[in-house]
Amino acid sequence: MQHHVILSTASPHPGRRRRRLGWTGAMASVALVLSACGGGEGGGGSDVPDDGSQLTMWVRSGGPGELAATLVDAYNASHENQIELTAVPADNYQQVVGAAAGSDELPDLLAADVVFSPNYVEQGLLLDITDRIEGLEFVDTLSKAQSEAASDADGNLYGAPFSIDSSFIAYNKDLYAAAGLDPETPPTDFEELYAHAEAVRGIGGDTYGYYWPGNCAGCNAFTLMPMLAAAGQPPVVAGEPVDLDSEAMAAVLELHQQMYSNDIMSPASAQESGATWTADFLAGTVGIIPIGQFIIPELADADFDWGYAALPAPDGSATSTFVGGDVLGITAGSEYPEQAWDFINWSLQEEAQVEVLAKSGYLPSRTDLADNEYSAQDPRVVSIIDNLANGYTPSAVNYGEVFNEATGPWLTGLRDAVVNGKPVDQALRTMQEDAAAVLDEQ
Amino acid sequence: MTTQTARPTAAAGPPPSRRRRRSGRTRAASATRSGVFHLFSATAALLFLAPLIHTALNSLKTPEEANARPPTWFPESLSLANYSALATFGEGIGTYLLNSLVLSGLSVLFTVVACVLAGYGFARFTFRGRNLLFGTTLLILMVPYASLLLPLYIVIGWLGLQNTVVGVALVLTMFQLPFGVFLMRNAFEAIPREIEEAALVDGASSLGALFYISLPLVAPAVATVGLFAFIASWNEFLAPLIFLTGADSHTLPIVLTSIRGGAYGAVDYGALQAGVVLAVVPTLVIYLLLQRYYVAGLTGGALRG
Amino acid sequence: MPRQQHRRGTLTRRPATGWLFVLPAALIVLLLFLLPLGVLIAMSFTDWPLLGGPEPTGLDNYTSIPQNDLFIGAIAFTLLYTALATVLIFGISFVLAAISASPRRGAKFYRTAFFLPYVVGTAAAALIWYAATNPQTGVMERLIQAVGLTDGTFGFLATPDKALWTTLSLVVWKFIGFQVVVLVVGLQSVPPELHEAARVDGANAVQRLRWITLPFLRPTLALLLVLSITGSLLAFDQFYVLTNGGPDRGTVTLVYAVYQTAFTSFDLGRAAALSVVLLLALVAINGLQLFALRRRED
Repeated sequence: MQHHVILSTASPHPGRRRRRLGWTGAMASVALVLSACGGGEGGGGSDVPDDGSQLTMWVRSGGPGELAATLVDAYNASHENQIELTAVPADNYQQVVGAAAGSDELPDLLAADVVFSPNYVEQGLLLDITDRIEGLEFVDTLSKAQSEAASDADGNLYGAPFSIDSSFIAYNKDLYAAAGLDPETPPTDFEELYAHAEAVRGIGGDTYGYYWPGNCAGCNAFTLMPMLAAAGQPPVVAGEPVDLDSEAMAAVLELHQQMYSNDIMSPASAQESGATWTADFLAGTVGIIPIGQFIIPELADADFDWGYAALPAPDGSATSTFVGGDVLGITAGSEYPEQAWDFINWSLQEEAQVEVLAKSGYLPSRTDLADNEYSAQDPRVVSIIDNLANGYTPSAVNYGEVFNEATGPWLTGLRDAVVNGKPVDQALRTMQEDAAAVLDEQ
Repeated sequence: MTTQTARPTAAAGPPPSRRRRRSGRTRAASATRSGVFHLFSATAALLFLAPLIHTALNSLKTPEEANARPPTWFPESLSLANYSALATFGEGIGTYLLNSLVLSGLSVLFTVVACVLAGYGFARFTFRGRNLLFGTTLLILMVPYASLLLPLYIVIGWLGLQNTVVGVALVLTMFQLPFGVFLMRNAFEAIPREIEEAALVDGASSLGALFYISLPLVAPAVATVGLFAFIASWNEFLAPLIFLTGADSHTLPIVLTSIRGGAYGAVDYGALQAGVVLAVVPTLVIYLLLQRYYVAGLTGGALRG
Repeated sequence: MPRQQHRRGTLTRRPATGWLFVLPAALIVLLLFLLPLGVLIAMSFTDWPLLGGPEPTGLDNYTSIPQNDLFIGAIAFTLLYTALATVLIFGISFVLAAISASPRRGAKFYRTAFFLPYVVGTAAAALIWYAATNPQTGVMERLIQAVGLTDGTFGFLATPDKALWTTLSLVVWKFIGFQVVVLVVGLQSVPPELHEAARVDGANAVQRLRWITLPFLRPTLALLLVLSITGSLLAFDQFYVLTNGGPDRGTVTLVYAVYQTAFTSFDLGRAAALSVVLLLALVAINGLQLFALRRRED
């Protein structure tokens, strides 16, 4: 990587140290970066981890952005290194990263939504940090599901768990009582899900049994895929063909189709783009909602009591959760890999995990720290963390195109069956074919 | 802002002949017709203003009321809480406003300079490649903007302008060229050459003739080009988002998108609409200030194909 | 006109001066338009990864276009949208221009009201619609229920058709002001004496419109038509912010498909090929339009 240094010229802005290269220089450095991808050290920074370097870091806006800001503030306050954090609008993260990668303008630290990190790994944007992560004494406590999302086909690791978002079912205990259900008995399979939702709808008026984010691709991946994983039929597994035409998926579609056509789910569901996903539930007019742990701080203000249930397989034989969130990697072109790793390493230590993250209401990414003084205050949070062990994170290059885009086969198929009344087997076949065309061509 | 523009148009009174033919009966009929005209027009105008008024009112609700379901028609109590929520968003709204202002200011400057000079050149000189260059400039209109962004990103890197406001301003200027050059060329063509000729005979340079003789005459067109450049760059989202990646370099439209995106189930509609108001007010004010020139600028320019 | 020729002579004696004037614009066109366009065209013949060297793939990116369902599906929708947007904007703008050009008191106020939305950015305008059409917190849902048009949730973005019309209402609101002002300027350029003379000769309002106003407006209309059709065929922002191409892939425009190919699939080569095809189509369409309008004028 020495050539890198020679090619580099100092940037007039102290905050940025990106290389300024001519076209040939860019091509040459691209070749160098590629050849150095096996896990080499970077060029510009010293070997002293905390030497007062100026680092840059990107994260998507929203929850992960706020979490990152909390961590970075704590790090900057206690270290010589200073990190300049940019929260890129979440909807445009891919575009910004893509454009910057093409011109060698990436930051030193790149947080990646776990469902997109396989793309970044595949495109060679991140540095191999297998040895560093495996050198951590608590390596076994890091989320397996997330680590898989940040590794390549050979098992090399390119990112460490950074933020965790976990899905589950929340239900309104007050409405359960009003509907004659036992508030302490949450639904454990699809039959009970339907029966409970139907009973709550029986209260009538504007009260509905179930809320479904019917026009939000990512929301549905987040809440429905664990049901498939719990049934032993996860749709996306690294190295295997996509499997959407499964019995579990058919059961999921039938459940939602019935709730939709029988007026059990809120009519706002069909149009829900994610923006007001939690609004009806928070207002106390919805009985059951599959949702993520980001709703918990908001539920603190709700004027009803709520309960937790894990996302079940259709027959209730097992439960699972979507381990979403972000992994944090060092970019392949970073001149400060030592210093960047210093931040990652620090963020995984007990002090940061408990006294910064858990204290601020975030889930720690180490399972051994799940039960801490802050989470212990709410048994529901402990249940959520416990269930992470059964967690599932889909890992596939081009995942986003299929499962996160409003125009992708996933949402199109879901809506075809649930909203547009297409027979389930037909919707599934189309979904499977279209998804396979994108995912399995790799 | 409306009282000033509500005055009757001074120049265009009813033609004299119509006035002459008015008898008692027709006067009554014309009063009815006038009533119908105003009823219809005012309804239409209200339809056009309603979204802006509604958004402004919403931004003044308390955060709870702004997110109320069902929504209230009018604010039950006035509050600036949505604006103070914005003030502390990210690096603080002031930073983003300033970024937007700097970017727009530079774009307007570049656009006006490039378009005035080019418009004059196209209107007054014949030179080799003139039509080719003019045609190529108009071609910019036909390229899908989004697809040119990545190649632009690469080229901006070659020019050493990556991550600079100047780079983005130049990109935005490029997209303004078709309209601006077209308008300025027509505006200069509308000025008789005789006016400049006298100055040239007196020994002024072409540039001098442009500056002292013609430029004041095409001021309305210049204001129009500047206005459009300002509106476009002030509102531009994709280019600054992709080209400027520093933590404190985001512009207002990017912040609006950030408020909306990434917060599942928790979009703060109050802050969002306060942001929209902040984004709209500067363009609104500048438009109302320049409105007089703006129509005149189009008269001198756009209509002459 | 000998004097005119003489003058042209003095002004064009040094054609280099002309070049000096257009130089800044020419440099911007060359460096920031033609050069990226060249890169785009080069991209279209390669497999262009984010990192690493591009691999030439010949015409593959072009021959694979028919298999791109999103893009092919977007053709019909984009044409429909363009037709609807153009007809709506032209129809409504004539009425609004008539109001704005009226000699009556208040006309200027109305014109200002019609134009104001134009200064609002597309993204901001789409956010206004986005907030107003939200089924739960949006005022439109409440309005339509208050009027009594629907009992339950109407869902302004719930089906592809509704999403299209909701977006069209946004587009008309946002863009019509420009067209109205240009039309007003055009109308004011019609010499009033002509109307008077025609009236004296017994021509009615429709006849005057057909034989006096329209011929005078023709260049204006040609310009507006070209701008409207080009703009609509390249529509992207409004759908990107408001509908995300949905629901049910129902509002995916051509540029949306290009954008998605480039930025979601990171298939830069194919996206470039789509862009080049789109550019050629637009040049052809605009050429045909101008040709047709010229011929009718002769």
